Amino acid sequence: MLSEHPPRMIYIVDDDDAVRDSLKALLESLGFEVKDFNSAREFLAERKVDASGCLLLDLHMPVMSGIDLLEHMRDNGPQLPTIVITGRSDGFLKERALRSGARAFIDKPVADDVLIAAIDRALGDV
Amino acid sequence: MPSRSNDALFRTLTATAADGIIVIDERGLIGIYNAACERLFGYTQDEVIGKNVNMLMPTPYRKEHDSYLENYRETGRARIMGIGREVIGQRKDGTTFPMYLSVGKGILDTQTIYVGIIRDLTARNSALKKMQELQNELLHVSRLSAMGQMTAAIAHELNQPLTAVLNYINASRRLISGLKDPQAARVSDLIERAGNQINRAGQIIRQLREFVEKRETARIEVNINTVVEEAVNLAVVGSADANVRMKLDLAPALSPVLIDKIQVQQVLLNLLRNSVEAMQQVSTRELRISTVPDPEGWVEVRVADSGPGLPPEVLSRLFQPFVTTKEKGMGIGLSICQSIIEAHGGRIWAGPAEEGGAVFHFCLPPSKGAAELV
Repeated sequence: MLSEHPPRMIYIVDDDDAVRDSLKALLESLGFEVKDFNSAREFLAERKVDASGCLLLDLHMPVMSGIDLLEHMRDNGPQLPTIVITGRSDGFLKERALRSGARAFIDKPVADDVLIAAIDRALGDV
Repeated sequence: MPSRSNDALFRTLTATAADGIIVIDERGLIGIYNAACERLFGYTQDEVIGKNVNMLMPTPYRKEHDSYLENYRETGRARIMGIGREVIGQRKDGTTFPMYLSVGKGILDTQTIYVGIIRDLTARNSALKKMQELQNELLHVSRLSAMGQMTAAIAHELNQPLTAVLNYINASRRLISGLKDPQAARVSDLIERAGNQINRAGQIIRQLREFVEKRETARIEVNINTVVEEAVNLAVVGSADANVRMKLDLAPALSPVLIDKIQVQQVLLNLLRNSVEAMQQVSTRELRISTVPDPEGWVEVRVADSGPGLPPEVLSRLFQPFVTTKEKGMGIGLSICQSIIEAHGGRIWAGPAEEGGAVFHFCLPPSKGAAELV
């Protein structure tokens, strides 16, 4: 199913180097094109964002948090389906993320089939 | 000869004094015993006048008092004269109570007399005891809660490398699955087993987190000013804080917040104690605690001190987990404070105060917002 489409762009924003690198390895092994960013600010500085792609976003980041970025994107763009992936979830935070525009909320460590299904849905909705 | 008006004044004085007044002679016999004493001890004046004052004391003090008087007469060494101290009194019904007794010595018609002023300490002592109990309870609960928060912090930290490992494993599996090499199947199988173990570790962490998160149901709607006031009362009970000037500036019309009161009080206590400790080396010790509404209805709490302030290299590391700070008494660490505030949907941050010290702020969303989400 995934191989029928041209490689879609997945953006990753997570301040943990290993999480970012390993997620990129996993997604590339699935045939996606990946661009990863150390911080929300770095991502926002990216001029050309492929709106047919999607974003994988960590919540707990210094300076600008995942929720901050979600709200910024909701108000100013870019419009990109976003999947939140976080190691520290609780009901309150989950609700807040979903209300700020996140499409899905996944707990770390991530099961790859769960991730693939979420990405599928996010990209399919576009 | 005392004049009539003096006599009337004296009578009024002793009758209306709120504290007990007892006058005894050199042998300890009661000559004056006012109305307040009647209320304190239960004996009427008639029942005590001319009797030894030690009837108002429980044993063993009762037996000792005579020897105190004799000792003082012979040596002039005072145990209580002019000093005053806490002693135990005994009522007519046999029950005892704590009292503050101060004693003065005088001469009346060439006779030595002793004047005792008595204040009932029952109310004060029970309030102190209650305060002590509250502190102990808070200390106990805060230790449990700190462990919980620490567990949550550890779980989160562990999750990061676990996530990375699982991603690498899954990526490797997928890359291998296309290979024709005879070993590929074996490698793939081993990698899959490794992946299962990672999932197992992840489960354990999830269970730990769920166990800790049960506390969320303990949230109640409160006015943050009450929480602040209680925390301030608890924080400055020690003697080291006696030289700290506290200024409370609590905004009147604040939205209620939905919080775990114990947890937020822990945060406040941590900030207050940090500030007090920071000011130990300075001469001006002023602690300013304020609550402020923000335009969107959020509630901000500020704790500002007149200490030496926070150097930039400390400021950047302030909220990192497992950074060792002085953990005396009720300190639970700033990283845990951050966990607590963020779990409530708020933010905590620090900066310089105008007068050179440090200010710690945290803000919380109004409970209307939180209630909507539940």
